[in-house]
Amino acid sequence: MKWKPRWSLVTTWALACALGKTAFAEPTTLDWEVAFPVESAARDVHLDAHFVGSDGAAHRLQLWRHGNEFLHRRTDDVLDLFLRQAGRKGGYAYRMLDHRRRVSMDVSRNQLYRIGVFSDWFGLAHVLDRPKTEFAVREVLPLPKERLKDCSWRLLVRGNKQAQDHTRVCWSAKWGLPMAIRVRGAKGEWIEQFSADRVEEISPSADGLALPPVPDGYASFDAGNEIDPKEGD
Amino acid sequence: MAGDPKFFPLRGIANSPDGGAGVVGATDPQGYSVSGDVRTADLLTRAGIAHVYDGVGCTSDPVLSGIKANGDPLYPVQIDDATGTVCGKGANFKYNTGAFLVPSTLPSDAVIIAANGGSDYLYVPSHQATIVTSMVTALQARKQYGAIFVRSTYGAIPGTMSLKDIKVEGVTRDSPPTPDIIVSFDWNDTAVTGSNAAVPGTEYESAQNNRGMHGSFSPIDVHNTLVAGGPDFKTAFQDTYPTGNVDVAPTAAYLLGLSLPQANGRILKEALRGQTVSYTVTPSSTKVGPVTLPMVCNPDDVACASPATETTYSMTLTTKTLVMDNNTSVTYFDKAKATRQ
Repeated sequence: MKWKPRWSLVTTWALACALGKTAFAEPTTLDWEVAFPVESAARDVHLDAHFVGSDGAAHRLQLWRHGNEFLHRRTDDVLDLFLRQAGRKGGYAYRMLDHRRRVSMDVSRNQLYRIGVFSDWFGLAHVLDRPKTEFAVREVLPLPKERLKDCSWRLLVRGNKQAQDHTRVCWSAKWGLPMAIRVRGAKGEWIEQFSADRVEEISPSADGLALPPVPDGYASFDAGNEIDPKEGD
Repeated sequence: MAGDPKFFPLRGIANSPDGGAGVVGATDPQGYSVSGDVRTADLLTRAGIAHVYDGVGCTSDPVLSGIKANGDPLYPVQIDDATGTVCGKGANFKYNTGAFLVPSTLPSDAVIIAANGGSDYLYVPSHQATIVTSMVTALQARKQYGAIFVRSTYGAIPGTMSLKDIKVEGVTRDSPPTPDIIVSFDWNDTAVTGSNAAVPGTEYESAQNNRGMHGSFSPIDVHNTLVAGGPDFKTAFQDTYPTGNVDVAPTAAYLLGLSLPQANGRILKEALRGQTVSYTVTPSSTKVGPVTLPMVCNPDDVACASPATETTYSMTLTTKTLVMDNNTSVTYFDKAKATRQ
């Protein structure tokens, strides 16, 4: 009688289990800091990107970030936003220059919160808002066929079981920035919302990380002084 | 601005021992307010809400934060240490309440307070219903606070009304968002102090912003003043119909010959030359509650060490509906008052 190895059945079963585990495993849930690390990111960074705005149109975003101390964002060559670390506990001074209206507006982060505008350094400097409502971050499995340089795909799920929206973020720990952001459309397709065109290291700011002066001819408003002249920072 | 004189008696102004500016004197029924400033971040923190931020550092407000009937300050002066650990304002900085600055990263259970003066806007960025209901209970339990309106998405929370009931819940949006709670400070529309004898009306208010304020839900604040002048307006005319801010834009648009069909308000035709109108006005009141509370805290007892005798909270919203010639109507907020018994 010819011997038939019994282990083949066992091996087949084990292999099926292993394959099944790979194929049907739940993607790992990640903490925000693990999914979107910034600690080892380059300190002085310039980003040139485009994104789809809430108006449905394409816009250009440029960003110059110097550590956690200073940020300059330029949108469509129309708006310049500057943030400078100030005061204690996450305080930042904001200056916005609206070149179309020739207006300069100053305010602090604490004051923005006091009027219900929840603006954070991370969302502005790292171009990804940490949701204030319920959310989860997971690995993206299977990985998209398209591979982007210097980034790893994450799935950001906002909302609860009743109402969720899904966003894929290709996060670069090297730059502390997303290289691409895609939202899931009604038919399950992934629609590009943001794409980095160029990222590079830059020299530390030579101008002492100060907010720029208000350009000549611009109307200047200190919104902070309107909210509270005794700013508590 | 003043608290309940039962807890914070009015006081005179005494000479300073060193000949400088006057100091708080003895109790005097005709005297001045030494109370009324309320720091909601402090009270909600004391009530057990874990992470409350109003975006303001340490405050020094030794008089208007309250001087009790026995002469003790409600918030005794504290002195920061040599390194300014609490306030970050240098060594030995004097303060009454600590810092409630917004941290770099908000905790998931954060509460943000926009202090407007006569009312506070309370935001729960996570929209956790349990936090909202806890805050409602804490506010109902403290006599400094009056009527409470809550975002409609939370459903019926006992002893509150919806922000929709007073038309301040707009389209859902993220920035700036609709507050999760709007709470009026408590008011007394007949009370007088040495500084407002001719115009009665006092109220508690947010502590940290003393550069004018946005008023409470007292009829004294709601019945505000609009002065109009120009070739289209009647002269020496006093409008006795209810009106509101919402009427300004449609009236201006009408005078400019523009259409404003989406406006919530109405054209103030009764104030315009050549116009005669006959409108009807119907007041209406809606009461919610009473709800029974675990305890009610007196305003001179921020630790709630000796709960008050009252155990219930209810609130009443009064509106006035004006029906115009064409049978369309506008309903105006008139006042909202809380009652504890």
